[in-house]
Amino acid sequence: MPSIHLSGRKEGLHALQKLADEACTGKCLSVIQLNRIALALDELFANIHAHGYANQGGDIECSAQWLGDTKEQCLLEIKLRDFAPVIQDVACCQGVDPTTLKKHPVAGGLGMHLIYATTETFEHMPLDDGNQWRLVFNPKKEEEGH
Amino acid sequence: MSIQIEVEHAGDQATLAVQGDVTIHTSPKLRNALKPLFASKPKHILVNLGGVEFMDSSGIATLVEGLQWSQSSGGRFVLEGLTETVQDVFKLAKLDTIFEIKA
Repeated sequence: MPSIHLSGRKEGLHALQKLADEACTGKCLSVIQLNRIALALDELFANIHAHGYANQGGDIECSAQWLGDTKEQCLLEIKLRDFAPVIQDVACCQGVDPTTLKKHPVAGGLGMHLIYATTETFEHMPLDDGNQWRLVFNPKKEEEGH
Repeated sequence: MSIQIEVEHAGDQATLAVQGDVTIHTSPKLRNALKPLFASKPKHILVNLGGVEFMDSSGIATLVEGLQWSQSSGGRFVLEGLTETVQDVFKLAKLDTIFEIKA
């Protein structure tokens, strides 16, 4: 499993995006599909960096693999594993209702909402010494707002 | 990646043209450019996003703030020139009907 060290957010994110780009090479994905993958990784990365590591940086391990490559099913699985304090209350990982942002624009959770909206599956697993995040994309699914 | 922001005033309208990715790193710059525009209570603020290919939740939250400021000042807040990808993010966020968006 390739490992990325998040000493600086920009550098770490670029490495993560590069991993996703490499995984998507030759898959003929549209600009929208690629952007949705980039967006979900950006949001999750930002949350781990800000909330998990309190903007101080820390290790993240990540891996990407295709789970199927047929016309009917073509799923991209990306796993991120951090060594930040373990999240027990998964309710804090739920996305905000975006319509509430109009009245409360600084409310957090829009990033989580976007992760849920762009993925087929988004799972969190608490580990003994960190957290594992599993994102599954179904880029060949019809492009539509969830 | 950095963003470039140009502001033009014409009568009671202010136009803000944004170029580059709007992310957690660059959205403070957008906010800093946007906020002073409301001090003079313009009737119409136009944000041109034609040069933005990538925007994350921090960029959207900044624009939601702008929308809220415009409502407080009684003006219109219009987004225009959204690229395909940014338009998709607004749809995913279910905010495409909350903003006034010009093609």
